[in-house]
Amino acid sequence: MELNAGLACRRLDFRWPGKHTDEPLVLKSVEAVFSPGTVSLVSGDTGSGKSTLLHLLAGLLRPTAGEVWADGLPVSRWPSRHRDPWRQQVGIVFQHLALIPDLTVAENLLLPMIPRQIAWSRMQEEILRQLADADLSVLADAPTSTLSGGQRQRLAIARALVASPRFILADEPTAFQDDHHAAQIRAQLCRTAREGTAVVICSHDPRLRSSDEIDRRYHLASGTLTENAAKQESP
Amino acid sequence: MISETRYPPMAIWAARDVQRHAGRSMLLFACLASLVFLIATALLFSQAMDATWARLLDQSPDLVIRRIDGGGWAPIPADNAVALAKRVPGVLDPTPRLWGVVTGPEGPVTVMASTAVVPESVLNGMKIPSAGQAVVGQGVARALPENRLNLGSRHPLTVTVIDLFPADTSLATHDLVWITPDDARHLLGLAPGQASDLAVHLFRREEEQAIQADLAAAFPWPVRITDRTASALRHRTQAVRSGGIAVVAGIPALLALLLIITGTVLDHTGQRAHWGLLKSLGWTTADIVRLQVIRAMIVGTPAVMLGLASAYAAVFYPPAAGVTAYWITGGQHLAALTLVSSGAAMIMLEIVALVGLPFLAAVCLTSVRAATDAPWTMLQADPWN
Repeated sequence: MELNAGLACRRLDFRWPGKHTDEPLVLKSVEAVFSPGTVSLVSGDTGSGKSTLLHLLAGLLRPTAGEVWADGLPVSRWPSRHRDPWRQQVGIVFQHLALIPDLTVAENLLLPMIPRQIAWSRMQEEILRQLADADLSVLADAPTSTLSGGQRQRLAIARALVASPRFILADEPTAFQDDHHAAQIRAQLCRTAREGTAVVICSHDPRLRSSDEIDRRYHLASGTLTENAAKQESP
Repeated sequence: MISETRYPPMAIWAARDVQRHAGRSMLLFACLASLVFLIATALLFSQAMDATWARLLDQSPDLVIRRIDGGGWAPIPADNAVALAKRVPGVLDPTPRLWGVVTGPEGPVTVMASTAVVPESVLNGMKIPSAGQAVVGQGVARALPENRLNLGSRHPLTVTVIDLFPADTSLATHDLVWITPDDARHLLGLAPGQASDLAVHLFRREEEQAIQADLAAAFPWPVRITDRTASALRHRTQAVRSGGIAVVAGIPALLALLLIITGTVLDHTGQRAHWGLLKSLGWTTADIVRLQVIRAMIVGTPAVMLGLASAYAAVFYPPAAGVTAYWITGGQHLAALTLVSSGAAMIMLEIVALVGLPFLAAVCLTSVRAATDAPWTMLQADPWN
């Protein structure tokens, strides 16, 4: 297994804290490598543990056993004071989006940039660029609560991308999108990957599963992650 | 470099956060300002009392000698007393004084006929009373019919008021009546050549304790000697005692209120989820604590300034100053207090120590406690789950 670049899972087990040890694991001995420059798709049924895997990769949860490595470093073992700053290398799109409704669209994009020691001018440039990519330029000053579901989702993706992280973890990023915008998001994530970012998408959206632009496909079922070689055709 | 890029965005975001939670911020602001006002008023009043008394006592005699006998105070033979006092080394300029307490229209008043009774600076520019005339303090002047003042004692006297002592000297002249020596002797029942007491200045002021035994031994009759320190202490104690208890009793209640509000503001469930989101977006615990401290300073600094300004106005500007004096002293009339710059600086430091540091410590501790949890746990408390 290549541990020197990208994100890697080694014998990753996860069980929710407080659960009995005789209850089944949510994730069992997961082995995977998500390399820079690639787009990886993890599919699986609802409740199969896709979001949990993303949260483990993002350092929001700690594995019960096994490790998450990032660029050759065992980040899942690190104490919080080291993992917190490392998380600046991760851009995450939550399934529930987790936008702050009373802030404007531009302010939501500003949030991940504040602690990153970025100059104001560059912040503004990045925010404008992401707004344009997400078709949200005209809504920059609108409160997030006034956006449609699709617009909010594009904003959440823009927020994950705005600080140019090393790893993008997207949970159902196309769930509320029409075909046009779903294709746009797919292209956006692929473009980001080609610039050297490791992109991991968890989705059961057939439009993504059938995409040619996905480099690696995984399927998660009963806590076990398996790699699929072939793409699935869209129904 | 860090200060150019990290702190300005953080400060701007903190200001935005204050604006987002305007109600809570206003509550905190009002609570802090009230707390600072309460503490600063007590401290400023106490400091101003010190400064004002120091200014007045600086011009007062170092020692005052009174003759006593079995019946209490007794008149002093003026020339004899001066001659005896002059024999004591270190004594300068012994001056017999004519004064006493008699009944005025609204209660006891202090009658004096010797300029040595009050500091010279108080009497500068005042009209000098002649027989049948008086200069009176602000407290005596109230409700005098046709400027006529009736003074009661064994030998009652009615005088015409020709002038008032200025309000900014009322700490020393509030109940004072200045009349001629003959009128005073008549009123107080003193024979010619007798005085009420003897005022003494010392060559070295720091000897005021040591020289008292020599002075007492120099007189053939028992005397009681009052020094400047005892005089100042008596006045300060009287002024601050009653109100000080009320102020001190109120501080723990307000501090408790401040802590509750701080805890409520910072430990709000939505806030916790918000911080979890920030951590998932790359904020560290230190970043969150730094944001909260800057936010606290944005609210706290103007609140402290407002509290201090209000306290200053309440102590030094009438009519609020009268209300404050009543509140702290329980009725004693204290006007035109003086503030010295070194005292003001000390009060600023005391306010920072009493209010600013506990407040910032509460913000830091509450933030650290809430922000060190795992981000996923914090996110679970959110409104989006």
